[in-house]
Amino acid sequence: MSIATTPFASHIALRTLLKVSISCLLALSGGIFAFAEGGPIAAATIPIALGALLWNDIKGTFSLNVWMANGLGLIAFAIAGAEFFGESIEGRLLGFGHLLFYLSWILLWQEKGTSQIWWLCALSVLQVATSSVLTNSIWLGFFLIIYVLWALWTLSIFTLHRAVQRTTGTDSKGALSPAPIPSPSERNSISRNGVRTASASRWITLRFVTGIMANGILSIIVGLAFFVLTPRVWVGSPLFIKNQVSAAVRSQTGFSEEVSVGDMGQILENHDLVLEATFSDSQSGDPIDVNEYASGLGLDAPLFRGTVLGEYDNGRWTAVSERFQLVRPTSRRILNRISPLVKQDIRLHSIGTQTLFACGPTVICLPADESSRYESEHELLGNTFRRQLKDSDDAETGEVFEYFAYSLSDHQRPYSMVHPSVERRYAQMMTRFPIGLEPLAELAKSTTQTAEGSTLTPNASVERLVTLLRDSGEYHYSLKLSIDDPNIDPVVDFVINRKEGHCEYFASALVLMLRSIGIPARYVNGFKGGTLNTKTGRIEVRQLHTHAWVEAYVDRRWIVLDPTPAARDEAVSAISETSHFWTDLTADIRSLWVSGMTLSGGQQRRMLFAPLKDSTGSILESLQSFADDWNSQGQGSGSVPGDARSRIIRIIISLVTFALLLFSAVWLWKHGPDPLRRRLRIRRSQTSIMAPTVPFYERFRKILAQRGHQRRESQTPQEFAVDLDQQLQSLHASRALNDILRTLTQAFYEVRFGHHDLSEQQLHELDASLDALERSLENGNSPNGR
Amino acid sequence: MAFGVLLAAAEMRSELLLKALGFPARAVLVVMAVGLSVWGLKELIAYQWSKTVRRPVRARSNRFMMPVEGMIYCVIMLVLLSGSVIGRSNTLMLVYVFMAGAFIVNGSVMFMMLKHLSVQRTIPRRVMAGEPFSVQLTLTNPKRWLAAWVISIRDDVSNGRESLHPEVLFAHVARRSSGRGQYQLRLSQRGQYTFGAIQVNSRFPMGLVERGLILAAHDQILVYPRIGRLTSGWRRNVISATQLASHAQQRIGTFHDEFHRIREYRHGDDPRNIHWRTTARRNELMVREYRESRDRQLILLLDLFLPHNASEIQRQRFEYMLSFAATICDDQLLNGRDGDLVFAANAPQLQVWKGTAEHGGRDKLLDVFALMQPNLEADLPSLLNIAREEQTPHSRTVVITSMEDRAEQVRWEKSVAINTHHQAWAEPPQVIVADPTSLAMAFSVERLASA
Repeated sequence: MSIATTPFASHIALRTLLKVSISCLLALSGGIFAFAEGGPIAAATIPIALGALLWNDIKGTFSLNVWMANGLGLIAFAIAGAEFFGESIEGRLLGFGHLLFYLSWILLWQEKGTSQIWWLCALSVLQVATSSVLTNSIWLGFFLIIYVLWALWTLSIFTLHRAVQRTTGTDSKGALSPAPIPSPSERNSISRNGVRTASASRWITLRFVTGIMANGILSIIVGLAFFVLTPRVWVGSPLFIKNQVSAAVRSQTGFSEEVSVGDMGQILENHDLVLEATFSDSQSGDPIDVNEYASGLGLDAPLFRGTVLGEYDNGRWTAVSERFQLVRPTSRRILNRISPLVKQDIRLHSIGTQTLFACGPTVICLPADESSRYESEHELLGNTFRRQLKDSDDAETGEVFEYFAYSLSDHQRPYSMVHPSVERRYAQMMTRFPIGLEPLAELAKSTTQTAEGSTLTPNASVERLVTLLRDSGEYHYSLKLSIDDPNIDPVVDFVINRKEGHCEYFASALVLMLRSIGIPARYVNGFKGGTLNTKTGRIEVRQLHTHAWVEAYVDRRWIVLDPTPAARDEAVSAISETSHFWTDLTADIRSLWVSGMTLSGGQQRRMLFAPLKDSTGSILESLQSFADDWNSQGQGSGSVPGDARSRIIRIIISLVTFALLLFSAVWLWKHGPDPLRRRLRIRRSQTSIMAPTVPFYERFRKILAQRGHQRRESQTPQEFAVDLDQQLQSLHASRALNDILRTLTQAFYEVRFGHHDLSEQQLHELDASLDALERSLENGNSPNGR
Repeated sequence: MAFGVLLAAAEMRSELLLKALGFPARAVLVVMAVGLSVWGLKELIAYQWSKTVRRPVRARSNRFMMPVEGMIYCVIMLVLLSGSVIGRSNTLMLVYVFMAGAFIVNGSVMFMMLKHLSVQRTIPRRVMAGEPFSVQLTLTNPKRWLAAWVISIRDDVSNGRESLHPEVLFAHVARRSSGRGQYQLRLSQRGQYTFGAIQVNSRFPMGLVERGLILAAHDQILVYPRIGRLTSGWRRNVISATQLASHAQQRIGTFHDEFHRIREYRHGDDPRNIHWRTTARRNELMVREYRESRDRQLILLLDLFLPHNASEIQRQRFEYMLSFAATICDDQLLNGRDGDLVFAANAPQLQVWKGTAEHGGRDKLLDVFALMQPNLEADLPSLLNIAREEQTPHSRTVVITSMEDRAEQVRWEKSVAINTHHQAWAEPPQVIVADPTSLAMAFSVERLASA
């Protein structure tokens, strides 16, 4: 076969590879969408794509014609239209996404030409883009990287296929054009295109694959750089951002201003550092052991209180939205009025929240740096603290924030800055019991009744309910997230059916049961426990210490209750003692992901643009000062004459010297007296002189070397040909092979030693022989094809 | 250009970036917008300039083309960027930046891949009409680090009446190496073909943008008329080269007899030619056979007349005539040992060629055939005069024309010359009308397979 044509079989293989690639791409985008949506429609793309690949592309059993495709398209638009005109934005987005899949299914079952493949690629990208709006889970990032690499691979194969198709003129069925037959009367000239492959029978080589992968990785790196640098100039109102940010923060810290019961599982594997704290006496400064302090508060471990959530709706806790919540900036004057206080020196790491954590009944939180841009706000009713920029509403949460929290040393002395009537109203609000949770009320009522049928006192009721959940053995601690009955409330499902769950379920159950018997209760989340760093002396609280507990209003004060069984503490201890490389790596990756997904304009400004602005400003100031100094020379300002001038001259000399050095380095690199480089250049030039007549033998040697046949140094080419013929005796009809070897060797001798130049026709024939040799060695057949 | 201007104007008016990110971000955006505008303006001016002013072709120039799929890709990117900004979605922004990153890397790779590539074309200087031949393209990649992938090289072949654009696809050319590819041509029209600029294109890897180089690499090739083969009937009936040795001829005279062979005696052979020694050896009469030397000078006259409004059939016969004449010349030069050839054609400037096959004489003659054009004012008397001047006692003259009436005219001219006592013909010229039907027994355009 001539070198000017591509092997038909390899072209078929290339087309098949393209179809496999595009089918896998669609399956991947379908899987991503299904994961983001949590529904089955997009997931159906996987079997549909595989089925189309098998029956339409490979076997050719069935394919949609134009009329069928158009009809199905109309149906698809009708179905998607019905979904689109729904109530929620999310519903419309899902309708649009489903339409993309319907259209891609239709295209998958059509005969794939160039336009069909381009449409499939475009639809696939749009599907992935729609998925990115539906979720911001870290798995999306992982699949996105895989998708980018696979998409680049598919496009590369497609480009190669199109180039081959255009050059060789193969039709969609793969048949090659017949060779022209000369005719004397023919007036039109004919050309026949040529193809040069790296290998006679393969398009896709290892080098091709690694090149595409390298291209993909480079694309991802450049893309990530763009991601960091693209200004976050948000224009509109967020569509899903609130939930997205909350979800991201939630996955990071285990709490937020909204809690969906059941999301905490993955946190217990996260070793990210949240805060470091030391405890001391506020007046004397003597260090206080945190565990002793916690014991003094009646706790088995220090509880770093975060947010308080009071409203419950179908598995979701939110903060109280009532307007009469009192928030005020904290003032240092209060420190003079209350003593003694326990001073907590806390370094809070960036966890994407404004909440300030503190242990015990906290009176005030103050930034450690009095000149800090931040101030703390005290939400009086929930007794929670948040940090806020003094002159902005922006939430700057990307840096370590150090602050002092002052708390009481015991609970005996109630402290409140709220008027009692307001507090009563608040407490009343904390008794709201949602509809549909009657089983909890019944259980609470039955638990808090005496044998005689009367109701226990509030203190006894509280104790009885806590004991039921924590100590009775009827409920077990677990990170299991499955739901037995999806039709009922998850807390009810936990209390009545599953009877196992993590701290969120226990806390939610206790709060709701207390409310059902009229005891005000609220849901609190934060962190429990920590590990002491013996080097720094600080207690380190990590993500895995995330916890949820309860505060109940009894005897006009809020008491802390922890209904979670002790198994939780044991699990946390076990995990905190082990630190694995992969666990830490996963935690770092997760942290990076959350940082990226919550990247704001303020963070960009602080990390990127502010340093740029500062350095630009300093350069401008320096130039300005030079100009001022220069001008002051003429005015006789009294400064030393020539001082500025000499500085400028020094700068100019430095710049010129630097430029000269740079150009010299470049010149030396290119033309310098490097013996090896010179030798290589000379050898290259010698080779190029010999090149026109020797390369066919070099190619011959390369072909054999790839298959393990190398000429020994002591062998002449003739001897090598004979030796090779004997080695390749296993090939059938070795006479043809012998002819090829003999011809090549003879031609080499003529050129190399006889100084004969070969004609173009002879070189062409030698190339064809080398092609035949390469094919025969690959296939193990005779060069004649038998 | 418009986009850059709009961007700068939008920022100046809305101060969005200034408020959000401060002055440095605004400065960066304005500089980028101004740069974009200047670049766009420059491209616009260059485009208009190239349309109005014809510039000499540069040795190497770049080309860029964004197909429809590339534009759609950019539109999708823009939609995603807008959606992420409006919807405040960092995940959608992530999808956008991955698309942008791939696009930028793709463009950079293509740009670097095409740098410093060179192409060398190797073509034969002459081919025969209808004969397939290969044109070799050598793509050289001198870069140190980057190989060249999926490079399509497009050539341009034309002769003013038709144009071909063959291509060679190079799947891979490693760094610091060359690759050779070939395409095949079969040029059917006699004349001169010009190989124009070579386009080196690639869309690899994503196929969204096409970049290329245009290399000025001009070559020319001459296409001969088809050279067929003369049959034995032609030699026997027209040339009459072989004569039996039965003639009583002098060794030196009108015919220069050459000893041909010894054969058996046949009735009628001259007894003086009996070779006695062989006869004694074989015990049967054997005679020497002489053959008249065929190495006679051939004067071939070609009438290039073709009417202005010649039909397609007439033009084909004209080409057939050239093919026939070229075959005769080729045969004479290759097979005649001592005879030479005189060729003349009544082109606008009378074409006369004399010589042998030595020192490239054959190629030079065939070059003349390649470039011959019909002549509306083809003059027969001057053509015949050349034959009279060049004729020798050993020469024979053949006049070939493509039209019957021109043949009659030649015959008349010939007879007029005799009757008016002009220089007599040593041997009257033979007039042949190049008619495929009548010459079918003498000449075949199809060549035999080469031995």
